[in-house]
Amino acid sequence: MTAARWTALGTYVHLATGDPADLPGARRTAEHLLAEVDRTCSRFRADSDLVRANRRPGRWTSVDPLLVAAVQVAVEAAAVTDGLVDPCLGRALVSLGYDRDLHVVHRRAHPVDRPPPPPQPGLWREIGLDPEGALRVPEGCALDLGATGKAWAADLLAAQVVDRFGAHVLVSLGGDVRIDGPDTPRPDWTVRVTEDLDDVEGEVVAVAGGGVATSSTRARRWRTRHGVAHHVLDPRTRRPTDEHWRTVTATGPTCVAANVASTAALVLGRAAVPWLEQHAVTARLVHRDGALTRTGGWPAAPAPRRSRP
Amino acid sequence: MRYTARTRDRYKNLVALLTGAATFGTVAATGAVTGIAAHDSALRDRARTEADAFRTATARAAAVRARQRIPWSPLVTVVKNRPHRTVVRTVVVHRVSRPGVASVGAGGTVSAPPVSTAPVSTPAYRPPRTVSRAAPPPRAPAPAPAPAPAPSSGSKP
Repeated sequence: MTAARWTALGTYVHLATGDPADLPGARRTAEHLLAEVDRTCSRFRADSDLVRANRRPGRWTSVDPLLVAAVQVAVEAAAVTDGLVDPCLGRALVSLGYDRDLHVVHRRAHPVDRPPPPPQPGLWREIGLDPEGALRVPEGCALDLGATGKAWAADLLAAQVVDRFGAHVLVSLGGDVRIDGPDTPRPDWTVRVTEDLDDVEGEVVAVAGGGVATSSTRARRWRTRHGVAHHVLDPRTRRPTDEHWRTVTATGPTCVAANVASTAALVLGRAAVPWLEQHAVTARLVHRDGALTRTGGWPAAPAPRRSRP
Repeated sequence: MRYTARTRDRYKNLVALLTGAATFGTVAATGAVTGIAAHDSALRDRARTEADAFRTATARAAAVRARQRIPWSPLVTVVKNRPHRTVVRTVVVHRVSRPGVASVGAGGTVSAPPVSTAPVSTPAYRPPRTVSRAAPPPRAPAPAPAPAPAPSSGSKP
């Protein structure tokens, strides 16, 4: 097994294949595919299909069918969480100043912070989708695929590598991990769960397949006039979540499912653990004071090593 | 050479013959050119007619599709050609976007990482050295080093 790492979609990409010979081709595939996802789904590119559709709320816009597929998944995420993971938060993020790539936001001398638009629960139900290549953003809404976009791209990339090379593959897009491959004996993939990419400690777990996603309020933070904001918004208030949990890692049959669970848990706060258990989700939650909580089949912390007498 | 009535008639006949031949050639060439042009024009007309018919049929089909899919929309969906070569097959896109992919639940089983079972030598233990004239048995190839774990952290930019 071997791996490559680079940046795309505004975050890191970690790609590994079971057979090292497949890695160069898989990486080329990944670079082309992620460029296409960026061209269609980015909120920060003036020429992206998503930006064009957001500029025409209430009207149908011709877009790449790839964007329609991404929005379709985001709408389903909203449906299964009853709106806890909502794609209609673009305007709320812009009002908080997250209207450009985060590197640009960090360089601003004067932080932007406008009152958030009033909550409009259930607006995601009015999103219009035509799989042939058309999208209608509801009036009063701007779509943001930050909650599901990267996880969906990880699922898509893993499926594409399996389709093209028949290889075992692991993709991590900014913490959203997907493992896929044929039914032949799978490699022993391990994943290091941390709050920060540069953290060398964290917790290492073995993953048999499917998806693992980490959502954290520790990443993607910026200054506003009223303090520091982070990117995980509560759709009910349209403000950043209260950080009862600062980081949640969840698993699922797909990376999207895992990411939906981890994002919903951050939004739910105290109510997250019963919600995760009700949905049989295996997860690891880090409380704001650093205490760990585990649900489902998440392995217990390894026993501390004893020093030899 | 003497100019006689006989030679005059010969010249006259020759000039008439050449004039006739030239006239015939001109008429034939004109006819051929006209025919080719007419044929070409007919082909162009037919291609134009077929293209018009295709465009009309495509627009009609798109309008029908739009009415079926989005009957509440006052606008007609415009079917757009993708500007770039598709890098992912449609079947793959459908596979990862089908209903149910966002349903949270059990999956992606995690467990404690495997612990290496390779013997660890310690300073207190030395295996007995045996002397043998026989060739040592071939060593099994060393196992490939375990890959570094993949990161799953917050989506750091």
